[in-house]
Amino acid sequence: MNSMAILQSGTPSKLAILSGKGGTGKTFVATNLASVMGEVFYVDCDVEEPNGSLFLHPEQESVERIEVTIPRVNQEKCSGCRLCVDTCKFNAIALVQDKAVVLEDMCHSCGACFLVCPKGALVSTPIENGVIRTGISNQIHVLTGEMLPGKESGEPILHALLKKIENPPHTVIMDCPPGTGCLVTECVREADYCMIVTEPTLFGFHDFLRALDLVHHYKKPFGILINKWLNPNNQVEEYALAYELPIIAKIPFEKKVSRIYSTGELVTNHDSKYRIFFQNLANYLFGK
Amino acid sequence: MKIAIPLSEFRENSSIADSFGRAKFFLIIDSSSQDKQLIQNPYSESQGGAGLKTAQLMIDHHVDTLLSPRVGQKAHSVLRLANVKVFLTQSILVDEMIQAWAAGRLPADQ
Repeated sequence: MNSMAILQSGTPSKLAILSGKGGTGKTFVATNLASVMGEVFYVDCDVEEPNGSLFLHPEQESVERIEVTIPRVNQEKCSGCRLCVDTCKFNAIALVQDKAVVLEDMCHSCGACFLVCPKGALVSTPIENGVIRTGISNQIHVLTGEMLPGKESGEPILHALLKKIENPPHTVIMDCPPGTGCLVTECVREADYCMIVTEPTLFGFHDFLRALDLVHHYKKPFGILINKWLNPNNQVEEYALAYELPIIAKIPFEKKVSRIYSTGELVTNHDSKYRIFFQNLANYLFGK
Repeated sequence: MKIAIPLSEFRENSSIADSFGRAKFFLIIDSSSQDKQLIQNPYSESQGGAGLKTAQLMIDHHVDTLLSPRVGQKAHSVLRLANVKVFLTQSILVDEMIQAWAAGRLPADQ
C-alpha cells in the first residue's frame, strides 16, 4: 500500500463503503477506519438496520424525527374517479365502494396522487417515517438513520441524512446498506470515492460485480478491499488482476478479529497491528 | 354472493393456480344465479404489486369470497378493506374446493 492520498487532502471529502453482499465487513471497515481518523463523520446509511453505533457507542445522542407526507382521503370530496389509484406506481391506493383508500405502509410519499386528484379530495398528512440520531464518539460525529419498523421506504431518512453532510466541515465515511438498490445508489452518487468491501466467496464475488457496475455507472473512482482474505486463489482477486482494478487492501481472515467484532469492540483498540493497518488505509485514502 | 378462484388455465375445469396475484385467470361464480365467468388477470406478469392490483381486480368484480391456496399480506390488507373473505384451498380441484367451502371445511385466512 503506498501513501498516495486518493482523496484530496485538506478538503473534506466523502467516502462511500459498499459491498453488494451483506456481511462482508462494511461496518467493520467503516467504524475501525473512522476510529483512527480524528474528527470525522461516520454516517450509518443502512437505515433498515443500522449497527455502526454498536461499535462506536456514541454519547450525547440527540434524536430528530423524520416525517413524510402521505395522502388521506376526504370521503365527501372523493368522486371515485380512480385517477389516483391508476397513477400510484406503488399501488398504495385502492378503490373500495367507489372511494379511494390509502394503504399507508405502501406509500412512498411521491406526491403524484395530489397532482392528479381533480376534486382536491386528498389531504396531505404528516406521519413519522423514522429518526436520525446524532452523537459523538471520541472525535467521531456519529449520524445514524433509523427507519421505523414496517415502513416501505428508507429514502426520506437517507435524504435527510445526506442533507446533513452536504457541505461537511470534516471527512465523511458513509456506511452503505447492503445490495445495490436505491439507497446505495444515492450514497454512491453523493460520494467522491467508493470503497467496495468484498469477501472471497461465490456470493461475495457475484455481488461485487453488481457493486462494480453501480460504481462504474456513476463514474466514481473506487478501490477494492478484500476482507476475510484466505489466499490469492479467489475470483475477486483474479477478476481484479485481469481487468486491472485497484485492490487497495486485503484483510486476512483471523478468528481473533471476528471474536473482537462479536463483542461490539473496535479491533483498533485491541490490536496495534490493526491500528497501524487502518491508519495506513486512512493515509492512503485521505492523506492523514 | 360472488366467489372467485384463481385458475392456471382459461377453462372452467382447470386446476386451481398455485398463487393469487400471479394467477393468470380467475373463475368467478355467482352463487345465487350459478353464473360462471372466466376472466383474465392482466396483472399476473406485473413487475411489482401483482397482489395489490389483483386484489383491486377482485374488488372491481364485486367478489365477496376468495378461495385461494395462499394470499400475500399486502393483497390481503386490500381485500380486508373491502370485506372480501379469504379461504385457503387444500387441493387443486375446483369443484372439490367449492364443495368443501360450502360445507364449511376450508380454513379462513386471517
